[in-house]
Amino acid sequence: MSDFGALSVGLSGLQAHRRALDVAGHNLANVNTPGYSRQRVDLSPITNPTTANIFARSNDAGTGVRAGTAYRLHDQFVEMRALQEHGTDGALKQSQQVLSQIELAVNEPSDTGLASQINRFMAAWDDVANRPDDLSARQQLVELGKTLSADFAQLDGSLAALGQNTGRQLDATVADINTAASAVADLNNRVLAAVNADMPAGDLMDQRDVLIRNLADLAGITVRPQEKGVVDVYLGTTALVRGNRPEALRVDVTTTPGTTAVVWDRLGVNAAAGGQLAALQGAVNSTIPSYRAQLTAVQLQLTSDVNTIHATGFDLSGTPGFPFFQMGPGGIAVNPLIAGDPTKVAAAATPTGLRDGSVAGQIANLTGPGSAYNAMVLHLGIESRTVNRQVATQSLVTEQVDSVREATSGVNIDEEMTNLVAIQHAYDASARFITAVDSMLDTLIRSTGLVGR
Amino acid sequence: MSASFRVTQRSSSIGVAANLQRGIASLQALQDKMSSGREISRPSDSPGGTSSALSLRASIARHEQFDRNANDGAGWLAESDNALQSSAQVLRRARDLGLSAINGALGPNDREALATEVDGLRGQLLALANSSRLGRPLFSGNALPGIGQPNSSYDATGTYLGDTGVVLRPVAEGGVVQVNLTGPDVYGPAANNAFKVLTDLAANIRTNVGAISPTSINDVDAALNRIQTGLATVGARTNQLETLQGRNGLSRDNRVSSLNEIESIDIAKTATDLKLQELAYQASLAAAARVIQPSLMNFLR
Repeated sequence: MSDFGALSVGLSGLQAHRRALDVAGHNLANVNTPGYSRQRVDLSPITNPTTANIFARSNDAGTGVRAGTAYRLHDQFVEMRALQEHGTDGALKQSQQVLSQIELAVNEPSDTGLASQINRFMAAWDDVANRPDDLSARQQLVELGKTLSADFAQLDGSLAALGQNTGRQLDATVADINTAASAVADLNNRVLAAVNADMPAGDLMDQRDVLIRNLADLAGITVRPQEKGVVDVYLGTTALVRGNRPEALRVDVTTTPGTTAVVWDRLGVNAAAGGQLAALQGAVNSTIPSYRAQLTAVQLQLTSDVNTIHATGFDLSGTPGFPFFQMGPGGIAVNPLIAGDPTKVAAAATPTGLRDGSVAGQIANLTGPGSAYNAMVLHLGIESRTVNRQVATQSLVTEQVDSVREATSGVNIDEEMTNLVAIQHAYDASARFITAVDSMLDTLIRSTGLVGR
Repeated sequence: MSASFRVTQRSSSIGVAANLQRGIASLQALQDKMSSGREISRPSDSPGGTSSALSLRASIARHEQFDRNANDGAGWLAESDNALQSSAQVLRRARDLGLSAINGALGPNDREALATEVDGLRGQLLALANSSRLGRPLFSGNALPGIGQPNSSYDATGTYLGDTGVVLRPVAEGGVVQVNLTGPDVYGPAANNAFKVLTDLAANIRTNVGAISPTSINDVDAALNRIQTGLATVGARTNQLETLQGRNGLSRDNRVSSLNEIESIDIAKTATDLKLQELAYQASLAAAARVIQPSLMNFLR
């Protein structure tokens, strides 16, 4: 090796460690950046040619060090696992939110919930039974009947509004997914360009992976890594992003009336969604409608139980009882005939002894509607509690997976500081080496050829 | 996190944040319980408990209604008792008057005076038989008078206007008490009711110069007997009603305490839990302060 060659060895050391220093600085700067993966540069020795050649043979040591392109420390399999857990986590948390809102609307057990209102209504029948000829007791009964109908309508209205809001949230989520999918496709494109040009792509990949994690929460996706750092994103078996091409989703309410489907915009077929999207779809299509149906069933039972007994009675003018409740599309309502004229409440068992209240007494004894409502609340409680437990368990699992990911990719300040010290020493040493070569050259240039002077 | 993992500042701060979050969440839940005093504030807190609470609330409401029914029934029986006691006095006075008329030495004026008083007693008895409670005659069964007809058990001629309907009050689970007596039960059958007996007695006093026929006195005795029997019935029913009402009250109290057990917090236990949770939270805060601070930087020049 020539003497000037030794200078370039020193220079390669300076350059390589300079780059390593930059990467350590980059890592430290991003220590708190979400989704950032720590980066490394691989240092490799520049070796002499290994192919023997008469005129280019070398017995020298290598000719310095080379720093490779910075790459990120990232475990694709941990990442895939994390995506899966995030999908489950997103779905459960969304279901939990919906059920908790239903619980808020139901507001049981309390002194103001529907259960108490049903009890009050039943007690009013006993007041009529005690004083069948007292118009005020009858009026009170009719008013409580109206209040009860209004309470049913209000609860049903809250559930309907919750359904509409959840539908809007579904629209927004689909829009979010489409935006994220386009961004992932765009980043895939830029990653490909960077990798083709042998430029560092770690930061671009990190950005893309943050978006993909977000997609996992939103839609429960899976990924399939491709060549050159590109990642394809799948929803079920259909690609949401393939290379640089995103597919769009849309909400479809027209194909099957009464159900809300999420379909592929271009293909028009249902998308196999997971995550929040699946939970929202479940809430709109089944959870909320099922509680509304149960509420309707309670009203139907109340209507049929009360009306059946009421029909066997006779009102104050001796006419057989009209139906007390009417069931319409908006829920139950007190029959306007009776609401307008409380003497039409049929309390008596015979058309002759009209001061009898035994039929009203029988209605007061009804427990069926209360039990039906109770069963609905029990069902809600169990469903909600189950999801709460699942959320608690799943958050622990998700946290665990996230910490594994962080363990692979996270920046440790101590580690970077240690690297920094090592790099700095190496840099100093390379500089010292150049000084040593310099002084050797100095000796040669200044002190040789002076013998005998 | 298992020890084999690489630990970074970010992972430990995420871990610390998650732990603190869990700590403060359970602290919040306990504080909510403590301030609301309720163990169950939504169905998912305890689905089984909620279901029991709703059943108990329905049952308590039913028991409270039984209690109100019982109070209403007791009022009914008390007023029947008053009316019957007074009726008995009226009949006793009539009997005395009848007995004094047996004395043949009375002159026509005296007889007329006695007869007039008996007539007056008949009027009193009729008024008592027409006693009403909250606008409803006590002794007319379930009959509801048509428009323009008198709202009473008997008309002025002593004809019964009511029917034989029974008035029942459910006063406890499975406990029903009849609270009414109909006119014929206490004032006798239409052919020979207490009013006719008194009319006959007055006529007897007026017409029979000398001793009156003892039949009238016997009839009065029979009417008095019926009233006494009625009073005994009312007494027995009042007794039965009070027993049932007492039983209903006990059963209601039991249910209220069960409901409290399910719905309300155990203050001592919740307060202890709260204190412990507070301690745990403070401990994790202190740990967090130690974990997050130092790095190699603190020791390098």
